Amino acid sequence: MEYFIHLAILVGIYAILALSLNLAVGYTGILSVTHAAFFGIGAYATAILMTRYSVNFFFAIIVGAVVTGVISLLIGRVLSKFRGDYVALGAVGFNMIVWSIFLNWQELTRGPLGIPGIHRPELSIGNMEYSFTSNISFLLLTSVFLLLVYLVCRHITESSFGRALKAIREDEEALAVFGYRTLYYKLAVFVVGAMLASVAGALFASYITFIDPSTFMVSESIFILSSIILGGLASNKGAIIGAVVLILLPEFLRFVGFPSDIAAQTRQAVYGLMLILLMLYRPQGLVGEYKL
Amino acid sequence: MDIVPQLIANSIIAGSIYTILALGFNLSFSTGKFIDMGYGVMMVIGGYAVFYLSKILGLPLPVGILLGLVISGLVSYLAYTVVYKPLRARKASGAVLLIASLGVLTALQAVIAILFTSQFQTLSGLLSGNRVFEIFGGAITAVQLTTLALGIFLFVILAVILKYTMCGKAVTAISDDEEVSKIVGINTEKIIGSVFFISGVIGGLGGMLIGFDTGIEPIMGLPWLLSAVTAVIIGGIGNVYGSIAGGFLLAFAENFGIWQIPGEWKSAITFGILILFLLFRPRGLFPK
Amino acid sequence: MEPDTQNGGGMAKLGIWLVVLLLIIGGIVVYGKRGEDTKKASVKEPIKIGFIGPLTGDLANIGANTKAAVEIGVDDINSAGGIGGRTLEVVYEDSQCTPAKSTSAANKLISVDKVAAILGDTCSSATLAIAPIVEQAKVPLISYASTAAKVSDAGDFIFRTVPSDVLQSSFAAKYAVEKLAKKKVAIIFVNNDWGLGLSKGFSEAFKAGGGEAVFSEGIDATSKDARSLLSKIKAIKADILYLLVMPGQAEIVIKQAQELSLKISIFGADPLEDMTVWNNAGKAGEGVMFTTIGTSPSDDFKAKMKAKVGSDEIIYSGPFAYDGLKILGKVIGEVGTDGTAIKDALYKVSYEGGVSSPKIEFDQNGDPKEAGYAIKIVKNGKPVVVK
Repeated sequence: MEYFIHLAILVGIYAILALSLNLAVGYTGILSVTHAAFFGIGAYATAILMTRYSVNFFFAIIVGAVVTGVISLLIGRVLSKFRGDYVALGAVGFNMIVWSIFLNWQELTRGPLGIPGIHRPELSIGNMEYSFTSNISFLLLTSVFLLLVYLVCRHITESSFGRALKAIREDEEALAVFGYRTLYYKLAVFVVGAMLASVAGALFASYITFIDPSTFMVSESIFILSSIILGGLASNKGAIIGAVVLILLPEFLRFVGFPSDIAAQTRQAVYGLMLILLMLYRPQGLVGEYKL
Repeated sequence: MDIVPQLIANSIIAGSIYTILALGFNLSFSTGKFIDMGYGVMMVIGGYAVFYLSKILGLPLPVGILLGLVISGLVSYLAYTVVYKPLRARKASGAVLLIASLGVLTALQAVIAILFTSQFQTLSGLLSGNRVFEIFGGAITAVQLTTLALGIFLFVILAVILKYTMCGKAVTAISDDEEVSKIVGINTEKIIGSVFFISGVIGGLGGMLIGFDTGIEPIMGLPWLLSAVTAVIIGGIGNVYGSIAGGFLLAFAENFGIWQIPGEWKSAITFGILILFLLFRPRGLFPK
Repeated sequence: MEPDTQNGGGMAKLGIWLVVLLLIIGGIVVYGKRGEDTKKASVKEPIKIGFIGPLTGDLANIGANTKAAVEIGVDDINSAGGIGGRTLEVVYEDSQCTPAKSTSAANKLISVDKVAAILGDTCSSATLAIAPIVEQAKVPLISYASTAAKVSDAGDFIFRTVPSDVLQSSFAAKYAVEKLAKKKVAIIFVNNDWGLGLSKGFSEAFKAGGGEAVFSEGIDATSKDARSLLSKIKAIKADILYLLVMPGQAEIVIKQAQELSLKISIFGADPLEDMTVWNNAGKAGEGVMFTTIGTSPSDDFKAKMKAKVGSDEIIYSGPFAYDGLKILGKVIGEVGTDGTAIKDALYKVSYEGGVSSPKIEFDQNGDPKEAGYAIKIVKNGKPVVVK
């Protein structure tokens, strides 16, 4: 059973990542390929605060979100100056730079050695103390966070703010003519998305209890992006479906009994083919509303 | 001992391969108007074609190289006709084409890994010795000199073709304005198809040269592609002079950068430059 | 940018949902079957041990080679009658050497396959990530390749047949200072936990021996251009290069050093045992020295590996995984499949006649008590032991 709980936790974490990326990519049309960087900043902030300064998880998660917010504001401001597809390129560049900092700022991050021994979250209200050591309790915690993130995303996308975002996606100039400061809208949604990704990072660090830079590379950003492209852009349900499918599919393949060395390469080939077919025949994904 | 001559030589070595890769990428980028990630896998295909034909089947090296170039060109052409052409026909956005081309890269890379394993392979065994020359205190090998010569040769050829032949003029016209080119009677689909073939050939050539100098592995496409893209952004899109300038500038910046900064930061240097250029000179050193 | 106006949209949607449904049902059926198998518990059912390694990804060649060594071990054990009359079965899972994938693999092995013990992972980062899981599930784990110092105190159930980096780097440093009389070392390390760990250990031990580390810089694992790093080393005039990179990169750096006529001795670590390095490096490889762990594998093992993988290639982790499996087989034969009992027995085991080292016993950290290192030098394209 532990295995299924484990997978459910991973699905939850990646669903948070997909939901938060969908804000920028699906609803606003910013092709961001740097989400793993924010995921990583959240994870590192939490890991460093918890292991080095014995800060409580629930406080660390907030600090991590604030740090990520500030950094994403800077990155978002720079990206907002790029035109069209260059946003994607610039985003890849930022992901590489942030990864390089994780790897090489060893005083802070221990570099390639990674940070081991991160604790599970602990909660103390008055005299009551509770530790999320068991996986089932951690799953519960992840679900609560996923629900919160889902509600935040739904609120954003269904409010008047969200409608303005969709309008920006369709025709930014027209909206600017109506006096909307489109830049602020775009930056705000980019920063919120990044901060939510940092929450996923905090959960990841505390769940796996070990982090190192290899988890936060460009390929991870592409993976998260693929999950929302598969599930459907501009659809919160689609984001969750995408994360579920992309996390569980390779796990199902473990049971099919392919020779494992070929199975994984086949999986990569299928994954590439899936991107091509989706773009050709269903650019809005499984349940999405918006085509890139 | 003075390190500068060798750093210059190192930069020239890296720069000449960047130039070749950038020339091919620039061609398809300026006419197709999207970031073609699939270009990365053409290098892998070129390299592995020579590996298979000459090292495993034992065909003479020139035959292997020639066939390899044709194969990588054809694969690139196929990717264009099967995937990019229909997408372009229905005016899909750059993001859609970018993601579709990422799919091409991922899928073909995996196929190569299945066929030839993920192991690192060298092609240098196919050459009868690789002499080292000393020029102004910097060491450079015969393969690297050949790469440099090929880079310059390709650059000149492309510059001449684009400027003086009908076909080249058509390519330039399409990269300026595809709609207008259509109206004046240029068969744009056919021209763009051949551009993708040529860019695939150039990418394949780059992959082979990398294989002769160091070696090939299925996952090498993406890092080299990103270097080529950076070189094109630095130099200027749609401009052959831009490719050569961008290629060498990037190589000099990387090699002289790690002279003072530890080598671990090399990729941060590359992408820092990319972002600076996107920010302050998005049209590159030589805007068209 | 246009709304979904396709008429076939509904059908396509339905089709995709059907596919998803089928996948889920398929998964449940397959899983259910496995569940039934375990329910029909009989004494004769095979003993399961899990294997975790990078069967895909950048390190796939290490994973595949090690898997072959483990398969040989399984054949050896089963052809000798299995473990207490029960056959041994190893379940292989891919981790790509990343913490997240490795934890998935470990959870699957523990809760679905109900393995008695686990061999894995290759990378120290992945091993550290799965340590808490096996610790909690009380399933002993033997790593065959994770050499980071941190693995020593990863937990009570965590063992390794491969010795810690600390030992290898200090052995190498001592040899360089005392036997080779080198005073200034330059270090190039692959920028990962293994490379950085060894480089730090070496610097410290080298300084303690009276030498000086004049240069220490990392290179990305995917980079094939070390020319500028080597140029810097040439200018500094170090007298030995400690080269901490893996096969696939090592031969390139060695060749480039020769192209730049960098005339200093090159000293490497145990992954250089891989013959492909020397086949690719050609003449440039002559005179390169490196440390190897333990003894050379027996001819019998070499022959079996050749039959399995089709080449002479034996990556260093293979023999450690083979011995790890044999040790588990021996211990399970004595105490049964209870995790805690296996763990306790592992601390007392004394295993001789292995292919990785002559005798393996574990200390209180689960590390091998003895690590017999040897120095090899490349002569005529082949590494030979320095007497």
